[in-house]
Amino acid sequence: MFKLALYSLLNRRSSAILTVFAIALSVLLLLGVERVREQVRANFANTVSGTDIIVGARTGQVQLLLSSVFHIGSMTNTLSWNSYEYLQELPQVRWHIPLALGDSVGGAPVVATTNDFFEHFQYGSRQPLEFATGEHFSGPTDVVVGALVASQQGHEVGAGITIAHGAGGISFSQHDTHDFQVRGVLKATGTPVDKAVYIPLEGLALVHDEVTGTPATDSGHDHDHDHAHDNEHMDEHSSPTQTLSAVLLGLESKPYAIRMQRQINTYTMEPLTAIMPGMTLQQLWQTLSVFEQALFVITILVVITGLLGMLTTLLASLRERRREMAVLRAVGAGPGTIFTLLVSEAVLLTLLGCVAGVVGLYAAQLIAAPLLAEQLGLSLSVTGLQANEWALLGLVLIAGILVSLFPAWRAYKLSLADGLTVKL
Amino acid sequence: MSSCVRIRDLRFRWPGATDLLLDIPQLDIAAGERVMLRGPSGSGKSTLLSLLAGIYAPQQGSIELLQQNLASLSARQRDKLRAHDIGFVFQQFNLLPYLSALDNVLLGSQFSRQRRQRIADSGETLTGAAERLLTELGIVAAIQQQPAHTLSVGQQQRVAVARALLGKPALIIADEPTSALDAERRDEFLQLLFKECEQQQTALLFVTHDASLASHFSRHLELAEINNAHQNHTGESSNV
Repeated sequence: MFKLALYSLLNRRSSAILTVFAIALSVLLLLGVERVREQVRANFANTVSGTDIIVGARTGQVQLLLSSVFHIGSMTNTLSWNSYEYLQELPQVRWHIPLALGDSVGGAPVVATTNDFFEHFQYGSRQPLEFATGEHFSGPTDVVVGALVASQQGHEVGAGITIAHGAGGISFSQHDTHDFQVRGVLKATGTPVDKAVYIPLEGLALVHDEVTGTPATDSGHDHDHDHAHDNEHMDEHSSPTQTLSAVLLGLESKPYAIRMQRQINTYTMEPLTAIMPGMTLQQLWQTLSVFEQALFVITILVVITGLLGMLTTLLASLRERRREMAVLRAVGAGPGTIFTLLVSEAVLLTLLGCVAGVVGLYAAQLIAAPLLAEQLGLSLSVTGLQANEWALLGLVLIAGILVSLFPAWRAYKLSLADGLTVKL
Repeated sequence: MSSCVRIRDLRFRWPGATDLLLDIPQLDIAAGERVMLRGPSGSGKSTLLSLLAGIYAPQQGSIELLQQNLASLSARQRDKLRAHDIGFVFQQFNLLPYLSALDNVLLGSQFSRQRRQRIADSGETLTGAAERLLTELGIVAAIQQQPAHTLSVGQQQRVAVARALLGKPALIIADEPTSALDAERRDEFLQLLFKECEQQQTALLFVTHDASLASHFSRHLELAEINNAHQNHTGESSNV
């Protein structure tokens, strides 16, 4: 029966190919959207690991998470060095990483931090950062670059590098007087870490002519954009910089994070926001879920469109195939066989469409993966079909069979009425 | 000689029609017999064939095929009986255009285990039997593999005969199979058809409007003579 259906389809191959193509495209979209959605989630979830609390100035939770770890968006408020010192003194704090953001090198964000970053920051399933070449900071003009930045901009250990002021790709004020030197290159992580350049906090002060411990005089700085380390107030502390964008904290015991979050949020000296990355990520997904659902509904509609195309093709073919059905009836096929033949055709078309769609998905992934990794730092892993993807394919197939019931029923009726002689 | 077709008091009208189309008190075809049924178009020939094929059921009377009353069979059983024991050859469009000539012939055995069994009993393979029939009907090996739509009309009709004959059915019903052929081809076609039917002991019911073919047949029936319907337009009178 399948053989007959196959030959019959081959006989109408141009419309069959178009139908398969439409189904393939819709399957490609359905699986592709699902895949990207899940991988984006996995990528986000992988980006930060082991960090229990992120602290920033009073701001939105999602905004703090996105700007501090993902370098998406900019932070308008800063927290003071005093607050950082307060955070360090909190009980249960095992490690702390200060982050000052706002500069860029050839479009790559510059993260001013301390060597604690390389020691304590973790991604994926608690993997620490590793150096591909070189090592961490040992002087104020040392620079460590992420893997992607290194490969894109061609940085090597020992080479000079100029840090620009401001977050834009092209900066109007190049701090040419302060050339830095690449000290280390990080191994690729598949996270935004790869896309950033790391300098010591002391180096940042050099960039901005902040001289450690100097009394407060705004030393002719005329950058008036939002910036994490403008010289708002110099204080008497011996601090490498006056303001920070965010502080990452690791705790001795995870459950303590909730208590500490409340404690930091109610800190009276400065309005602060403390977030737990995992929780905030959940919050982000909830915000995005409406969008995701809309996207999913659209892909479902595309699949339905593809199947409706098949329905149209099958119905249109019935007229020209009444002779074919009469021949089959004459050699002893019952109307049930005609029904089965039509359903078999739909199964074949849908199956071929699914196979072509999956092949297309992998092809698209192989082509797109390097681009996505390069442009967005998004690593798409080319995996086999997951259980939920098999389920989606199964649903498409079932939907295809259901759709075919209508033309099959029509064919059944026609073959009953026509018998052996077609009254065209 | 045993009976192949036995019709008694058959009455048929289309649903919704007031007039009877067929009213046949009696029609018998013996096994292996060669019968020509003649009638003008629109006289109910095709309908009678559909009744014999079990596609439609008569309102009254009985049709027996190989001693089986069609009325007592389900639609599915009638389909099976047709698959096993009746071969059809129509005026045209007998073949699936996208299958090869050989595959078209093999189609005849696809829906009938009995036909396959009979071929196996005679010591042939399915393909072997199909190829032999085609060759005997003048379709040479090279043409057997060609898609049916590339064949000439005469070739297509002979392929249809081969399919109808495959697996030794009891009856071949041929509905104007020669009307698309010229006179010379027509006689050649008939000779081949007769020869194969005789070899297999298959009865032949040959339906045509062409009276000049009568000399080829052992028996010649006029539908108008066996069908009372057109004489009794009220359709209500008894005719037994």
